[in-house]
Amino acid sequence: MMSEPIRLIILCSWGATSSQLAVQVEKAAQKRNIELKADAGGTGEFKKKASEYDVALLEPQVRHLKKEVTKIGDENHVPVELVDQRAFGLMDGDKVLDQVLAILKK
Amino acid sequence: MQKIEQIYSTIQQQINHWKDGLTAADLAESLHLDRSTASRYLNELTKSRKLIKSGGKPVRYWLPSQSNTAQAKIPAEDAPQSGRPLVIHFPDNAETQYIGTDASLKPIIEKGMAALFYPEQGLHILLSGETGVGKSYFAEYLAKIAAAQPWNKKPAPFITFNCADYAQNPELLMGHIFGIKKGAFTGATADEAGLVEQANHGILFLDEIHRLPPSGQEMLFYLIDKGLYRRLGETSSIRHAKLILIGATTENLESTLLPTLLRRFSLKLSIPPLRERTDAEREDFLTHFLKQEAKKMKVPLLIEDHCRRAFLKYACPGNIGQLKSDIQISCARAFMRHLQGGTAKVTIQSDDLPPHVLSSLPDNNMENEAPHLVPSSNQNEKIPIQNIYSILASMEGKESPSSRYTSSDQEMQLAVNHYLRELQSLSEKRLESEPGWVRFIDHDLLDALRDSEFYFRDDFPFEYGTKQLIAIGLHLEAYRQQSKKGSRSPLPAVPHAEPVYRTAAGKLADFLEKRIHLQLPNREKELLAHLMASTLPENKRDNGVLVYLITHGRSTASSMAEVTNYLLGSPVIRPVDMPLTEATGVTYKKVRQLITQQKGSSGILMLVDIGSLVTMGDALSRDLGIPIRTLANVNLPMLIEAGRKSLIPDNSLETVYNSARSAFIALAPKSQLPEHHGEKQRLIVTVCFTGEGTAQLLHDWLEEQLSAEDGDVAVRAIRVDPVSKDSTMLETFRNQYRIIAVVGTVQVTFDDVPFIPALELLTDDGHTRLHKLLEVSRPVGTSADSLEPDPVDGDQELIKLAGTGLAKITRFLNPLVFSRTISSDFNRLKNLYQWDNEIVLGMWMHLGSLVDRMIQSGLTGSDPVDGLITEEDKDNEISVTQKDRDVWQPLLSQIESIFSVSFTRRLTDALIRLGKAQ
Repeated sequence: MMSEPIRLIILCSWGATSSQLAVQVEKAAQKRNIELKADAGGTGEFKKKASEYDVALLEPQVRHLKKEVTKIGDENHVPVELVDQRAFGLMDGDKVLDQVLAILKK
Repeated sequence: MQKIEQIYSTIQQQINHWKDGLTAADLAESLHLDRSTASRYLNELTKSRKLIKSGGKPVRYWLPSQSNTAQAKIPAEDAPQSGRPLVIHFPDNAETQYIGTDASLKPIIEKGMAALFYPEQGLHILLSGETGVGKSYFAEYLAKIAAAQPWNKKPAPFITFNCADYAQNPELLMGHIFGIKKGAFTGATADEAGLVEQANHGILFLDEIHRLPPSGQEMLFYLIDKGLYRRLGETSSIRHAKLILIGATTENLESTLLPTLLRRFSLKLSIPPLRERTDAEREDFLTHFLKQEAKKMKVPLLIEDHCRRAFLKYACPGNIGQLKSDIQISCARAFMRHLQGGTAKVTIQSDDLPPHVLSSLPDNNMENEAPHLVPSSNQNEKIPIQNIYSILASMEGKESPSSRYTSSDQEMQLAVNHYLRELQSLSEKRLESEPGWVRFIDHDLLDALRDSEFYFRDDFPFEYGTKQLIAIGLHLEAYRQQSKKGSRSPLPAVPHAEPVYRTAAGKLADFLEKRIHLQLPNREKELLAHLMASTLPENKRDNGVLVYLITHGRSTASSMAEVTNYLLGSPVIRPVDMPLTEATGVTYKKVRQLITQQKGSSGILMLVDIGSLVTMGDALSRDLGIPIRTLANVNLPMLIEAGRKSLIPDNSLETVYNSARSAFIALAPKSQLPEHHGEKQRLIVTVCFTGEGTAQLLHDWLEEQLSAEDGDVAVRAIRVDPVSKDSTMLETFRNQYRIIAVVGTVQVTFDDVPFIPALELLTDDGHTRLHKLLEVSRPVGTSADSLEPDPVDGDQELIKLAGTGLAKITRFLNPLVFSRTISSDFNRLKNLYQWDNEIVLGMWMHLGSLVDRMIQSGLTGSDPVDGLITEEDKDNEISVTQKDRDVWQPLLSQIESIFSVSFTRRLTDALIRLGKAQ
């Protein structure tokens, strides 16, 4: 178990769905006794405090921003990925958590 | 007293009011009838010869008691020149003699003259008719008569030209007709007047007018519509010309001339073929042409009587033109003999006649005269079966006298049976798929048999078609050849066929006798009955896959099917043509009927091209409960493969379907496979001189008319310079868009983009055309049910996913209702903006959660998008056009009405940007 909680940010436009997904991921983490703090937001927010995060996930509808976000992520050593499509559609917190853990293992 | 008689007596009493003749409108007004009723009464009275009517419009009626001149008189204000009455004067000299003036051509000559002298300028005339019927001769004749009218003082020019002369070089052709400005193209070294200029104030006759390219037809249309034209290469000056155009074409009018031009010909006359003209006229022609030749020879010319009869009888598909050249050929041969033999006179004998002329003569006339017989027109072809007569003759020869009436009858009987079977199997094999069989049958016989099909098809209580025609044709051809040789073995008595067939055979024999003077003895008739009877039914396979080919176009499907059936030697492909003007519903019914008539198939494969046909199979399948598979974008390899596989009755529908499908892909080079991405947006341009008035109206109208499937189509109104017809704007559009049509009041000539005149658009015709253009240009996947099943399945799965996801995160929104509300509109957006599945999912979830929030804020009174839209959002750079808003509007309105929320402009625009950013 890690000493520090995992800091995840889920990006979408206007933070509408991402905040919901963030809640789902946190719930899943709690069940598995993983310390994780998930935020939701737009790209603007991420730009401001990118260094605070361990992982950034993008929702499909903002896929076109991936390049820009990846650039910011690289500068701050934050891996950036798209949320798994299926997991997103089902709002499946467990699956997204799996995805986050997999990214961190790399 | 009947109403009509009341009217008649009214007319009689009041006729003095209508000295210049009575029109339907006059009568309607005077008797308070509506105009069409009045017109009907007038026509009835004319039919019963109580009234006489004039040509021209409006039609005027007179009582017969009014003087003769009055009947043909056109009222003063309409008269062509200074109030002279139009009495057509037929000059009585040889030069204007024209065969048929008082018989078969009378009505069309009258119509033609009426058109030429129609008030003010005359009407334009379009002549049609088979090759060689004398269309140009007729035009010339009209012009001559017109010039010969005593009151027609100014000699009008009559210019004739055959458009086929320069058909290989459209530029030269148009230059010749309209004139050329110096420098218009390489080699145009001087200004040159065109035929139009020469024919000014006269008549321009264009033969084979269908050979004019569409742009030329458009120029003509403009000329006869407005009296304006330009020489080739001229841009600034407009020239005036006033002329009557007479066009002539051998082709089907509708398919070869632009509809706009076709409509400008107020009078369409069809010149009858030789076979529809009277015998006396044919005789006149013969005499006329012989006289002409005799004049040239300057030696007395004689013709043997049977030769004369041959000329009067033979089938002459090339009409008068062919008759003339056949006569000339015969004369030339006779003249040669005259030179060699030094005879005093030239005598046309049977040797001189071309074989096809001679073959029409009944054999008995030839017996004493002809040293050798010219067989049928196909000297080198052997009829592909043995001649029953020669078989019988040889059998007869071998026989010993004692057995003559016993075994030989049986043997001959067998031979006849064998012959019948052979003929039938031959026609089975050959069918219409192989046009080759017609080679074996003489023209007159063939024509007669084909006509018999037309006459008797519905009359005979059994199917009567090509198969029987082949068998009967081959047999009768053999019979005729045998008769000519004179040695004729009688057919043995054949057992009687079923009465229906015997009756039918009798009818056919009568028909043939009347038609081609072919007399058949009773035993031949019996044989005909057998040939009619035992032909196998159209399709004897009672299982197996049927292949239907349905494509747009007047004969595309038939032609493709013909090729394939010919290659496969069997009529496996069933074509259905869908002319562009035919509504899908009509085609649907046609196909449905064909399918229902064809019981017992194990499935149907429909090969189609594009558009609505793609989904027809599914609908039919549901409708009829028959398994039907469809393949779109049909090509020949697919068709052949499908046909080949369907020939094997054991092959399942899946097998046939899959082979045809792989043939499509296997044979198309990769580079030619369609690209799905990077398609330009479709555009309709509306034009007028200002870009505001009509163009704008059309623009608005079109936007209203466009269906959801064509939501991607943009409409732009632009101005076209009245003088230069400048189309740079169009060029610009062309780079950005895929222009599918130009619509408007100014004819814009623009290579590959069809132009639809505004007026036409508002009539059914133009609307249909635009409709079709839209349908065929629809990007792949936009049509509601495309062939590829995968993306559809994908979509449905996505929607399920999103439904589950939304159910987890929304508090107020019912995901099921949401899905129902937006799915069809969303699909449209998807296609329009080319979202892939992932984006669809993202947008779907996004919109769902947004609506959830909006419902919530409606309950709590907070701003639903508070802090949601950040100003620095990169999407802000993307512009939102009215077009985008229009595209989204139906979807958003739906949501607004179902969930009682409202989208602000800002919110809408932000959504659009997000969607467009992808």
